[in-house]
Amino acid sequence: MRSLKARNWVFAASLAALGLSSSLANAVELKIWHHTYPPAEEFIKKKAAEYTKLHPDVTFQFQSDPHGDYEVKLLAAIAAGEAPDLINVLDYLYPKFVSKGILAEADLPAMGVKSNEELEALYSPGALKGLMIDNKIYGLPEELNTFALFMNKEHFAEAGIDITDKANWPKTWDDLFVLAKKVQKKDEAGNFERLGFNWVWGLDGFWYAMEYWPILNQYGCKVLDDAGKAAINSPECVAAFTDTWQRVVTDGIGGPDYATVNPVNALQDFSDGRQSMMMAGIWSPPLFGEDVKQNYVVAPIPQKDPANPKTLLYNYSMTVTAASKNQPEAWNFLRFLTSDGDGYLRNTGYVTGLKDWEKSDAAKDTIGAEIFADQLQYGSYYWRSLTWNEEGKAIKDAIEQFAQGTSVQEALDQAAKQIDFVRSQQ
Amino acid sequence: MVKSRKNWALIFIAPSLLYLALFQLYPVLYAVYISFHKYDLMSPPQFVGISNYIRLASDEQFLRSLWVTAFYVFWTIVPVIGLSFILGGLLSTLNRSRGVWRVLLYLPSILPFVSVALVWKIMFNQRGPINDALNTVGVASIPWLTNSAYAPWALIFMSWWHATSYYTIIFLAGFLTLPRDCFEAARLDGAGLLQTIRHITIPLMKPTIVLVVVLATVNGLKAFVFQQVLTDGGPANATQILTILIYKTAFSYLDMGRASTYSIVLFGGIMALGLIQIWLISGRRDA
Repeated sequence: MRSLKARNWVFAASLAALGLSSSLANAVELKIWHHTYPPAEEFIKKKAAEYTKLHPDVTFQFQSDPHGDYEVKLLAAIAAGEAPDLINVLDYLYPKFVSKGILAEADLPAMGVKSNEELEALYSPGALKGLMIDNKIYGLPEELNTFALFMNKEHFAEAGIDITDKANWPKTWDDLFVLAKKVQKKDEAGNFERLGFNWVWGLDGFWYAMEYWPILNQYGCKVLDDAGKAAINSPECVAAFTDTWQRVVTDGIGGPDYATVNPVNALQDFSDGRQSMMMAGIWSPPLFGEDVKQNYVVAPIPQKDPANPKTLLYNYSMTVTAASKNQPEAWNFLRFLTSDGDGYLRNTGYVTGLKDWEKSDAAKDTIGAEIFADQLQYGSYYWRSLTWNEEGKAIKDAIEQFAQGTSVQEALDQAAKQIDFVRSQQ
Repeated sequence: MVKSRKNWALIFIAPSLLYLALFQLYPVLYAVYISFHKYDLMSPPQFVGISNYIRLASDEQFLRSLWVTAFYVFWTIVPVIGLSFILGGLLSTLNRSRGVWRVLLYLPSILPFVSVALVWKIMFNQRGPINDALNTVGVASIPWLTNSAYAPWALIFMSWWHATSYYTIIFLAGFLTLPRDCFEAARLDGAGLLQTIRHITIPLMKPTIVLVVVLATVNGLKAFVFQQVLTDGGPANATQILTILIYKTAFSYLDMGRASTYSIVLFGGIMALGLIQIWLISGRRDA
């Protein structure tokens, strides 16, 4: 009897040990890396907690860094064999990342779909295009975006302009600069108290590209020609930058000397009410100060030819690394996370690009959602290149040069030379 | 007995040698190796011979960075050495309050680089305290960090504040070791202040001066954090010193071969400059 009891104890203990070891064997910790954007960080953590409730064996570790540093740290971690499972990657990096074997191809069964077509059908047209290489999908959109023009209602009211009236919205770049001068404010000494409009300054090349890419398209400017040579110094590109970017400086509307440079909130001047108009994405309102939060209007960005609009399309995606040992689980979580389009829009301002997102309740509650939805259809993705970072940096350097007096042609000639040099190294 | 002592000596220095070999020598040798390769961190290095070195001559980013680095180092070390020498000399004449001044002057050196850089970034901001101060005396705001004409100088001014603190303490230590009788003899012989400095102080301080010149040059050439935090090499590459270019080439552009080539050039430059300085300041005159 006694030995039977002891045997039962041993059996129970073995079972418990077996259960524990099997549970430990199934335990997965997914590491998520994201660029710094506090509303997204909070939302992802919340969704991760929900996922852990549904799948107790899966836990998460989250890390974020400001945009520029983020990519550098990410690449260093991947190279060191410390790749996170889930990462946040911009679409223009896909060619480079896929060519280096950093990204895993989408695990369709893990996401509950059978084919690429089935997955694409869940999204707005073109939403996954920027995340595909050779017809293979490598990520899901977290932030499908275009840029629109944000205008501070109160500033315009002060200047006697009802900016809620669409008739007063700037249709062309000329209209924008005229409005900027009307709404700007200077003190007695001629120093700016408030800027009418300004570009972003002092940030990384991608930030500049978000603002110049639609302009380049409007002017028929290409960064690279069909043979892969730099074309950024073509007459079309010179005209694009001269008529728009440089004009802000030469007309005394804005420029680097008046911009607050903050990599964590690139829109600081508008957010704090020191600037009346800016170009930004639908994600920007959570960053606005209290005075600006409910006090703005969203309009389409100005055009060279309003009858033939051209805008930006970009995708800050979430994807799984090829080095992840938990790929099915990571893709499963990714689908769970990004399928909450309403939650994303409400909490972070991100549009995940799911089909009919613009008809959701969250979109109806979002100022300007209909403008973004409309503008997305005219958007195009950035040029594709394995050396995008260096090319983007060369163009950024050119902009900073002509903003300080160098001729646009000379600055773009230098950029073209640099781009060709970089591409010749490949 | 001698052999046994030698063995013991080897045992005692082995950990240090191992540390030096692993963490100093190996990375340098590996950088030399990688500089002859094309390497993107993700795939195996691919041998390209000396092509990375040949391309340096036509690499405008590199040539520009060399000039920016030389400008920064020159305008950092020359004023800093002069200022530190004077402050160290003045401090050595104090008695009671020397300790307090020493602590105050050394404070910038013990603060974390990144924190210091962030504070200066705020100070140099368009709406920061430096421009506020200029405005109150009727001077227009200066775009310290967003204009290519001012940004290099903003970093140089900042480095004066930071580096002077460190080298002043080294000079002070040098001044405190000088024999008093030489100065008393010079005073009795009727030597003036400038004569004393020229014929007694400077020759006696020569070892300290050599040390400071070499340290300041090496530290200037290796500067990174201030440029990274304040301007990230901009605007329009105006503050892109070599270390920033190396960092970007390696980790943003994933071109470790080119980055290693830049590093080897920088390493060679630091070593050559250091040796020349030592030879010019001490060796040649002693010979």
